Amino acid sequence: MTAPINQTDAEFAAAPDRPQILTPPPQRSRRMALLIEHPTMWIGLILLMLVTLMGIFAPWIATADPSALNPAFRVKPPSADAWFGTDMLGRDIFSRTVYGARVSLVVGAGVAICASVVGLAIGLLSGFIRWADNIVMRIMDGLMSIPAILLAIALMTLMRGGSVFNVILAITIAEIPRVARLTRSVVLSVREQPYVEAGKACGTSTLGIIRRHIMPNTMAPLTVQATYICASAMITEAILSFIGAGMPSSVPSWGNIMAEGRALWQVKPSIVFFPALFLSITVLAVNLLGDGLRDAVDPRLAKQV
Amino acid sequence: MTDAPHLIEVRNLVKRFPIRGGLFSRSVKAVHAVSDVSFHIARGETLSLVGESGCGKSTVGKCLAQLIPLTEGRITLEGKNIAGLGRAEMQPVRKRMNVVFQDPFSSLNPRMTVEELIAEPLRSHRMARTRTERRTRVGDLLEKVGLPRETMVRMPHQFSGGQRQRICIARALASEPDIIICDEAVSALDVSVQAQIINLLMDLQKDLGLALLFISHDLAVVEHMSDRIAVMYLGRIMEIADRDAIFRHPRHPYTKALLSAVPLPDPSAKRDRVVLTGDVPSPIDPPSGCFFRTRCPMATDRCASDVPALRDMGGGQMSACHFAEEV
Repeated sequence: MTAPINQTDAEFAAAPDRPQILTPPPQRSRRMALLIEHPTMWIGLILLMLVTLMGIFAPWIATADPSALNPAFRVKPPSADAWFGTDMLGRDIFSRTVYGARVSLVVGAGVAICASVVGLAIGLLSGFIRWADNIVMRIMDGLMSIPAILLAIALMTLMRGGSVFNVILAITIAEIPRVARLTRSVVLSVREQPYVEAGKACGTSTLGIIRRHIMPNTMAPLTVQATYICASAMITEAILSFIGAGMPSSVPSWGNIMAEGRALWQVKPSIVFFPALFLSITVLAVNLLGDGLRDAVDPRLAKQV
Repeated sequence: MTDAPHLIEVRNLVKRFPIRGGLFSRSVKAVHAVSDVSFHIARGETLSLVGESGCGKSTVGKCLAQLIPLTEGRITLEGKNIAGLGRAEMQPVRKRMNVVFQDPFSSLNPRMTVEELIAEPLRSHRMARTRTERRTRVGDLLEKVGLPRETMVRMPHQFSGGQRQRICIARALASEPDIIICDEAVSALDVSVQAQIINLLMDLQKDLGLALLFISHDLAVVEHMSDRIAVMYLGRIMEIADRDAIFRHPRHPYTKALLSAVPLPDPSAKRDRVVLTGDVPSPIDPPSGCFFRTRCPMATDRCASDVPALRDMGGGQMSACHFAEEV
């Protein structure tokens, strides 16, 4: 029973592989089961995938060049030629809406990823370094006290000129405090766990403690938070483009298509209606996915929608 | 006493926790968790630290493992000071000293497999570099603590409390330490499981020549395990002696009171109970002189003015009482 502590090389070479019996139930199958148990997540995921495919294959789906002007064919209602009608410059709204998915998705995903990564780093820093905590969190409080949309407008003005990169940067800065707070709260609760102390007693370095004990615990709430940030970033992007602070009108985005139809919406509601519908569906899809994920990672919060 | 340094020697250990308050979080007062504690542990020896809740016994353990910084004092490992070492210098010390905590449910990260958990000290001390090497070591360690090798692929929640404590012990053994600090390691377990874990610890100690610092409030367990026992009260050592000396002829009124509180299996047995009155004084504002005097049946005026030092009562039995001879 008491095997010698010092093994010979031969014994190392003969090290057994993991035995096949008693393997833990694979985590993925559990997640698949949860996916089946949460139909809202399914719906969200399918809708989101459809919109994503639409964005990727926009050149093939679109029936016309989204920026081709056709002055003879302006403000037409939906028809067989122009499925969603045309705008004031005669551009095909269906094609513009299809291309608009690209901006929304890229901004949504970009902000979700950037805000999560930076927010995670800031949260870990302020949760772990006592003296930095006060300074960093007061800055975050300051950022949070400004409504996200106003902050984004101000940042866009500072950066002069709309591009996807600038829009992502502006919305990311506005969203970082939420992630940082969430991460910090997880860090503060996990770092007091006895297993962190036990890890320290085993000689694990601070970085190792963060990587092996603390980070994994932040992943579940962070994933859920990221989906909500993605949805809110899409809306913020649409607002920015709608008021003219976001994407230039040469790049179709759901926000600026709506902005162009604003003057005519009482007589030609189709210009505003279709991009608004797509924006709503996409945001709904992301939120459904986020709700499903939240229920899956924390069944205590589960509420059927 | 021999000239060769003991494995562990603690000299005048003091730990105060400042209480911050007022403007700019000044430290206004302090909790005197541990005051002037000295003891030593020889190679392969079990020293038990007993005392009631809040007497600072766990704090001593944590200071020893450098999980919290100490306020004053010296801790030496084979003659070399280890108190207040930086992280890098502490690394070789951590290799030789590990801790088994009270609660086996919260001291294992629920997101890691048993293999990852036990391999953690191997990784941080760079003891087994390849994956196969680590896996072999983890398997050996599991067998050593009486669990099948195959269980390494499981998660901690698939084990019972006793099995988890075995995993904790395997983990503590992974770096081949000289001393293990058992901080109430069996208090959270059922009595029958306690016995198994204690026997496991004693077997391992015999096989590997481990020293144990066994922190406990259970005198029955302590009597079974220890070579020597230190009795703590309010952050001070009241009496430290061989097990038999403590249990047969205690030389301190507090030890006596503690022993008389141990329940006897025979309900008809009669004995002189020493019943203490009052509460433990606050460690924020401990009494003058002897810390035990407020509840001591033998206290006199002298106890309020002079702090009693640990005095040798013969045979290595040390008691911190002015009237140790009369106890």
